[in-house]
Amino acid sequence: MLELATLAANFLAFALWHGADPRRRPPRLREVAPAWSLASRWGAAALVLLGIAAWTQLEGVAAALLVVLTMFSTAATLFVLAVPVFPRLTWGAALACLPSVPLLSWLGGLGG
Amino acid sequence: MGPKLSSHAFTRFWDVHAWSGVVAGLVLYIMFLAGGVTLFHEELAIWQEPLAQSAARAPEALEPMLERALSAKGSTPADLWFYPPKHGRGAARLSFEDGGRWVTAWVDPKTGRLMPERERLAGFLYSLHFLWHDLTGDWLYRLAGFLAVALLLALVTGVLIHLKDMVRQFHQFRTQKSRRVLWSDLHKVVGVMGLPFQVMYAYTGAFIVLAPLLLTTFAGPLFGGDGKRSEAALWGANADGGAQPGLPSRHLSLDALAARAKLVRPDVTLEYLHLTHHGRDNAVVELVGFDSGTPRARVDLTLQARDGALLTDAVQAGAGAGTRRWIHGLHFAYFGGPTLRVLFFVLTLAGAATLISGNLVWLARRTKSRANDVLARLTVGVGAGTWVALGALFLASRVLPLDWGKRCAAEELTFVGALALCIVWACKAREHRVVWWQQFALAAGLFLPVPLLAARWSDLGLFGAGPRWGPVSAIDGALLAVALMLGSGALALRRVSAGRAVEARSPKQRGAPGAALLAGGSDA
Repeated sequence: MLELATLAANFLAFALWHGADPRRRPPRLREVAPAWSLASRWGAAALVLLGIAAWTQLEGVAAALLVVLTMFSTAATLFVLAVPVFPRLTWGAALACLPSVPLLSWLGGLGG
Repeated sequence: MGPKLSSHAFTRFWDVHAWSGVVAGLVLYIMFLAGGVTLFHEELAIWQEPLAQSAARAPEALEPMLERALSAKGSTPADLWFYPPKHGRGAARLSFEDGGRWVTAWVDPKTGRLMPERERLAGFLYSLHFLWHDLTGDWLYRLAGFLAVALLLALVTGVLIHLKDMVRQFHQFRTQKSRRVLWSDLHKVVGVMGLPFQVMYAYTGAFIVLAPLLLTTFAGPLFGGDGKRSEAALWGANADGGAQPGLPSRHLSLDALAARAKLVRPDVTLEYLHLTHHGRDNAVVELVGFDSGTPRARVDLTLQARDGALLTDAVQAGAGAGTRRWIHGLHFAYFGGPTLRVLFFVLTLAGAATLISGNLVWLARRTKSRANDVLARLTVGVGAGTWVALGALFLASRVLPLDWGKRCAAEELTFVGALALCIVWACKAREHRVVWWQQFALAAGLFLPVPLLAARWSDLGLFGAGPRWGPVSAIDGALLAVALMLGSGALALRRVSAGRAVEARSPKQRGAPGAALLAGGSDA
């Protein structure tokens, strides 16, 4: 569960970073306040750090850094390739990660 | 915006990037895909051989298991490798040299007889990823190392030529533009996103293959010509009992030796044993396993068989040990668990896409010529044909009779033959672009029935009659996923191809949205 939570966190993190530029956002969100871009980037950074912290419960810091880098690279590749072809599905998946991250983290914590 | 290169430097780096990619790309593509499959070598080795899946029994001591195997063999080789069962399942294996030939045999748990290894799919793909085969020997293996260096060169020059626009470009994948722009964007996205992964594999792969060659260069100035000392510095000290086996004598049991090793290194999990001069005065036992560090490192503990004395350093420290831990640990993904290996596989596909899209960018930027036509057709033949060859290999492994002595050679010939036929097909096709989806569809059709056929010999897979077991079911599931991926790819490419044909026939449709995707630019 913790692995899935970290994966979801990284996917959402890249989506936030990608959406920080208004030109790359879904059309309906392009007119959102400029502060959103800064918040988006900080949110992305926070999620990546959360992912690293979560993975350190499974392995050491070195492994956590490498695994999260891999997850972020994979999420970024899939997101950038998918979003022009399946925009609603891709942004929808990113939105679905928002509640999934805390839920999967909690389930992972329960599992021990 | 990043730093800008001078136009001379840009041109030179561009040329090096393009030429190193085109010269090495197609072979690297095959190595990448074989390497990606090899991430799951252990699971494949279990999936491919029913003897590796035999029902769990009560834990058995190592010594009686070995004695039974040697009794079945009828003699004791001077050097032998003993692989006990793992995960509480499967039969034990022996490996030894017999008349100049390397032999691996299973100890049949029911009959106690030695059964020669009859399935080498996992081993073949493992060797393919560094271009090794008994027939070709060392030279092709070393060439694989130099190809990894060519990949590093392409990666570094790629970063340099795109440095100033890198951040902007790696968010950019414009499917509505011309095909030349599409391939260029794809190449940059998968190239940049996968850069840490690709650099890591290129560097560690080149190191593993070429370090022994470099070592001989440094042995003179650094170690006074002492080859053994130089090897010990990099690979760790290797001790044996000496050239003379000595007289027959009794020694401690394997279980007692394993217990001694456990006392010295409780963090090490035993994988296999290497026995030298077994049953003689100078017998030594090398217990090989992995520690619990990050990444996990291979640990070799050599003990004198007669009294259990430790002949090698228990705690291997220093620059050489650290280098080995990280080079092998990263390359073989000895951390992160199955999750990481699945992600590495996805990045392998991205890396393969980087190589193929690089060729497509080359072709889109250059005028049509005989050489470029050959490259275009080879790109299709290898790009799609490798998947057909993999599918044919897996299908052959489940169709060819298990007790047929030539099945290993037949499987290898199936892979090579299928790949060769796909290349010929692409070269001979009137319209080579449609061969992409045709070969992807064929590959999907080859992969699809494999899990069903696997159920003939194994009850533990997705379609087996018995309770499912993780490694076997996971491979079955992965094969179905690959079939789905290739089938979807074939459908999508066919649609693009059909759309292009309609667009070419109908002038009215040239203004339609997405029409630019189907028009313009030379490409494969």
